[in-house]
Amino acid sequence: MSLRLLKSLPLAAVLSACGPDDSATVGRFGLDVTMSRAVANEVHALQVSVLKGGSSRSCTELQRTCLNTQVKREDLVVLEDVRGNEGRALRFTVDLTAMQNGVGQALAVDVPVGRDYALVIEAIALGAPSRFLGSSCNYLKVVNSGDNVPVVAAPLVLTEQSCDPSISP
Amino acid sequence: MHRHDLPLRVGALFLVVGLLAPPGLARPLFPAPALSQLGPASPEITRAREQIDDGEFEEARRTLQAGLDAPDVTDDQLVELYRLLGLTALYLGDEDQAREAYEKLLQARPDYELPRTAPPKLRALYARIKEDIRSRRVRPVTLDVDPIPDPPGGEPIVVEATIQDLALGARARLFYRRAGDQAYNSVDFVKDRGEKERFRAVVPAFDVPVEPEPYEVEYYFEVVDAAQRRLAGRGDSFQPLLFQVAPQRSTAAAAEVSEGRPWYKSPWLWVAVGAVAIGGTAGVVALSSSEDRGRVPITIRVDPAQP
Repeated sequence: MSLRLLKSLPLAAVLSACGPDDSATVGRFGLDVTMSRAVANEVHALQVSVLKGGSSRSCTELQRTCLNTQVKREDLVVLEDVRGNEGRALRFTVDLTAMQNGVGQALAVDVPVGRDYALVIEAIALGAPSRFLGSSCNYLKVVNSGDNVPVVAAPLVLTEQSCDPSISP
Repeated sequence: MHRHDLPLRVGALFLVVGLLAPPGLARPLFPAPALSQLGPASPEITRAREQIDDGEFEEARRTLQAGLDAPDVTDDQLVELYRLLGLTALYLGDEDQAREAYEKLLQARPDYELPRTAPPKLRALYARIKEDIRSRRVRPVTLDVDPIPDPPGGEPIVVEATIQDLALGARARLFYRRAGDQAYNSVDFVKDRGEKERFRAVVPAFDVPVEPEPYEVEYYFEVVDAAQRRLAGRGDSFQPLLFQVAPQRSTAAAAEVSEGRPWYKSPWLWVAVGAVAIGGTAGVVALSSSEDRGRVPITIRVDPAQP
């Protein structure tokens, strides 16, 4: 090995340490949400929204009814799903078979890197207009582009309300 | 007379005098205190004790109610007031009031035991109330408090909370520490004079000074009973909540500092140069990872335990 090559090894080692970790691209943020069977029997879709100023919100209050009746549209950050769809609230159709078989359903949303968020997942029943079944609200202290601390999510329990949870993109 | 006989003879003399004394004089040297005469004192407590000893139970009840309504009553005095109220109510045959008073007493002092001299009826009621508390038939404390928003620093932080069914003797506190420190400081929630269930805690300004760089403070809320058992809370010492104290207005301050300094000695120049250098390296990383978004994978499951 030449002396020149030897000299470049430490630099190469430093630069390789700067790149993203492969394992970090999957499951960076462990948000595991459980829903009660009562919700699972009726749920058709899940709507995910992220609010600014999470620490100034009361999750207990936010979970009582539709999010759109409690916050302004500007309070919601623009999210993006893996297909590139953008919106202040993203809807995901529930795979009931997978859920009932205990496999669970994986969703992914891209959130702007930042601090002090509240992530709200609303369970929606099919209908015209759609119906609110319940929600799970979770404080997100920080969202990094790298590894994020795991969050213990609040369970989704049935809190049926006569409101339409739809949020325009 | 032998010298050894003297103590024996003196003892015999006391015995004879004791036996011949009239019944009125045969009082024990250290009389046991009356049931009502234990614990701390206040004018109402002293008067109520006398009234109970004289059998004036209705008057004693009124005195004790007045004592409970008095301002600046200490926890020890409250405990004694409730103890006497329970006793008085039982003598008056008002079991509901006795139960209410003893519940409050037990919430404040979970390890409180009645003296052995207490009447059997009182002991039986007390045992039933303790059993109720053990099986959680007494309402639990509820704490409703919002997380602290990021403060500007250099100013006190006022936190308001709603605490329902706070047991007598229980304390609600806000614990906080600068991220990285080991020990937590704490401030008590103090009852708002205006509203019964509203409480307020204040983190002093000197604990959250304004600094050139932002810094984080970890905190949690906790309500504990007199035996330091956690009754309610939000966050805990292992999983605290977090707020960030905003930095000083750096640009204005920096402009003042840099006056009269040669341009090449300005820290902002070197910060800029450093930023360019770091930016070059970070750019490589940002190309392969999303530069302004973080992915949040969410897994939804059905919880078989929840109906």
